[in-house]
Amino acid sequence: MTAQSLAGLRRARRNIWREIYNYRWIYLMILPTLVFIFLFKYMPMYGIQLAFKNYKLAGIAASPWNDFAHFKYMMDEPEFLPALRNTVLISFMRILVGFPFPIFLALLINECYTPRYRRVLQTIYTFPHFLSWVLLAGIMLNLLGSTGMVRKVAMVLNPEAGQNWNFLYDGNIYRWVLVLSDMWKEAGWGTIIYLAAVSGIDQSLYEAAVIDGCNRWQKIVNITLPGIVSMISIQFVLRVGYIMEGGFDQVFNTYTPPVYEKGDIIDTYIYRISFVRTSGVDLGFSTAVGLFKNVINFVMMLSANLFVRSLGQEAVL
Amino acid sequence: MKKFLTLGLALLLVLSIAACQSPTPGGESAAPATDKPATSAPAEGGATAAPEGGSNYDTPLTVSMNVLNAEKNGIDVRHEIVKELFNLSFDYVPIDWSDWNTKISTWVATDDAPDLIWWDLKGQQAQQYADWARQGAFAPLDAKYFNESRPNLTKTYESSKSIDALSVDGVLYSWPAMRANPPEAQSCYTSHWSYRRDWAKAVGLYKEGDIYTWDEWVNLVREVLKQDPGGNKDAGAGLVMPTWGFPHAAALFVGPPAAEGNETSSYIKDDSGKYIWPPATEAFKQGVKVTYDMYQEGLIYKDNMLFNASEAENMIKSGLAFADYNVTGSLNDWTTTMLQDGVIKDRSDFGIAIVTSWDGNWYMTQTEDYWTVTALSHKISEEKIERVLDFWEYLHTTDGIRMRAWGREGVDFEVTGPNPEDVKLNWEFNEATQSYVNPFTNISEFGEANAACGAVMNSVLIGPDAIPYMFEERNRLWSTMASGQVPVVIKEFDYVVSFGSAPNKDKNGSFGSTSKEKLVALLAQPGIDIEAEWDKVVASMMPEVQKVLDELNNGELK
Repeated sequence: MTAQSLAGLRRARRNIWREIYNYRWIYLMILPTLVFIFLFKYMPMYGIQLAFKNYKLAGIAASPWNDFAHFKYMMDEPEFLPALRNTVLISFMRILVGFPFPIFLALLINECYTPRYRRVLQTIYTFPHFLSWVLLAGIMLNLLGSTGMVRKVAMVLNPEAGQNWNFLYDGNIYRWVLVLSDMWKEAGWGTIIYLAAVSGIDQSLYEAAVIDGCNRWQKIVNITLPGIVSMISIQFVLRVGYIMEGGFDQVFNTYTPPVYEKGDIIDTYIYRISFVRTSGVDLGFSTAVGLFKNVINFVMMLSANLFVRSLGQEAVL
Repeated sequence: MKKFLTLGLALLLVLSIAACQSPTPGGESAAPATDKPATSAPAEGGATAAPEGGSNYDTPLTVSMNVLNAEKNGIDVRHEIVKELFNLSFDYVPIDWSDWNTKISTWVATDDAPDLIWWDLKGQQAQQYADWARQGAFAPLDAKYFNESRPNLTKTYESSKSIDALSVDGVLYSWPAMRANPPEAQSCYTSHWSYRRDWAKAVGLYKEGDIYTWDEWVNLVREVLKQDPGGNKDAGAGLVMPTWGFPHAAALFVGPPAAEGNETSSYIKDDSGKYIWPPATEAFKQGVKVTYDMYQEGLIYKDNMLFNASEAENMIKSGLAFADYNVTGSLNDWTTTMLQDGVIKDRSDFGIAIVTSWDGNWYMTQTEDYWTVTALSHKISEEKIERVLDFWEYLHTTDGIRMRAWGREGVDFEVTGPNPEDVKLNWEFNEATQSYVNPFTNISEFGEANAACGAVMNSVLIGPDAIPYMFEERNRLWSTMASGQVPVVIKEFDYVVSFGSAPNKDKNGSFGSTSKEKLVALLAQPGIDIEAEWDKVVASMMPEVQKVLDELNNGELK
């Protein structure tokens, strides 16, 4: 390395420190966030080693290594692979149906010309997001249960089919109940970010399109959608990163043994084997399953990121 | 502005982190504990075990403990008395029926348990309990604590069957709150069908004495649903059950099979003395078929399988359901609510049904001789242990029973005789309900969680403030048991197999929750050959079950 390049390096370092000093209050403002992330996101990673240990009350360090016993047990457990399959399948169904719907809804809301009407619609659509799944499970029971309104209507239309028709006890229907009720709950909330992206599109493009004779549909296809496609791709990558999250709150509050085969997801499976069955809490096993989940999530997110980048769109990483 | 905002945020973060810190072991809220031992442990048994004229305990202590209904735990006169006598106060940690075991499991596993760990410990969790005890999660309750200074506790220590069951490698790690049932109850569980007597009368199928044969009972439920005396139309229900009792209560608990779930039963012995798995028996399969048929017919409320809290109780209280399987101890509370809401006109409109099984016998299920247990965290100081045990001993004395049930002598009540219940209450009397107005929001606060259930419940049973209905109904059950009016068969509790340890049993228990899940899954499938399907369930589970049975029958159970 020449003396000239060394001097350049020193100068660059000095510049960095000078930059930090110049913006010291800005940096100080992000310090709490960094501390928070370090304390609550990075430090707990120390506990990941539990996935490879038999946890003892004496502590993580004192717990003996177990030769991947939790992972072997995981693969031997007859209910694990169905739960894994269900998690991926339900999550995939959520992406397939639930991911495009907020975009569609945002486009529709955006087409409302009366601002007050638009705000009312937004409020109505967003409201379900703030309801807990405990409450919604009760509503679902009243709507879809044995004495629920939906079954009563079904019995009027087709008494024979309606007799034993129960959305909540039929595994195949149950998955769609999960997906559609989640879509109903979260679609309004999901529109917020897309509406924000739409509002950032240059209005002169629309004016030019009108002059060129574009109708509404053409404006949506040629201006609005391309204008938010980078936001859609970022959201897609982030959503795929949660592919192993099947929605514990929702499933836990609505599932029953008849739908375990089709509706049991990894999180509810862990809960059941940890707290319901007699073997008691096994922190090591829970950690192993959690680690397994997160590794898959991570890989999926990277893959989605690569995929989006290969399409020439803006990616997260 | 930025500076202040930044510093404020940083300070907030530091404060929130500090607030998340666990209290130091043995730390006190009133004043820090010292190593100085208590100056005296005044317990002479009999009527007074507490120090006369105030506390002889120098150091104020605060003990953390988990309790139900924590939101109702205000500071009342009883706390003041305990503070005066024992210099002891409590820091309550809330639990709920639905999360009780979950929280305890989490606390213990993460070494974050309160000083007193109140636990609905049953045989199903016995191995977890033993495992934790061996790892040092609990403070040992050595024999040294039980001597002439604590005669009531010592009596339990020396005579209760549970003491052996709760001992791990010969050391006791938790204290049982003994049941207060009379000897004729034979430690049988008090859950039964509580039903709308007025509806039974309305459909013309009421039986005097509330004793029903199986066919009469099923027919009664059927007729109630058909005639709808409650006017509920489609919203009405026949039989509902709490989550722990669904669906076994319908036929399996009240029928001949030994059924997992009703506080007891895991593996039972057959006539030859060999351990067998109840779900694999013909009697159980018959119970499954009866349950399935009842469910398909709609006698059992179809959405009961979606219940996850107190929906069954709510349906009864709101007059939507005909009968609920539950502990008889709820009768006073429930009937009071139902009376207030106009659901029933008289308490006697809702009572206990004695339902014999399809083989003509009345099956009662025996359980442990305690309700719940209290373990002590390994972090608790010796001083706290001594103080708590003194307090528990006091709760067993006449003074303690009166304090817990009625408050302060001379203010809340006057003593009229030597027995605990010989008191005259100074509480407000409600002429409308003809009962005293209890000033304590949480009357069970010093009950089970402080290991005094038996002693206290006995006196409440006959105290001047007690609503007699529940006790009358319960006594009717036990007198029917004792009279031989109905052939009674007791499903006996086996301490050895419930609390014993063997490798595969420890790992899988009795497979109770798995078999229950599979049964519930079958209920939701109409038109199946339930017996054949149940055979398949048993066959699929037997390879693992057999490993446990082999252990039990080869003498590997410790």
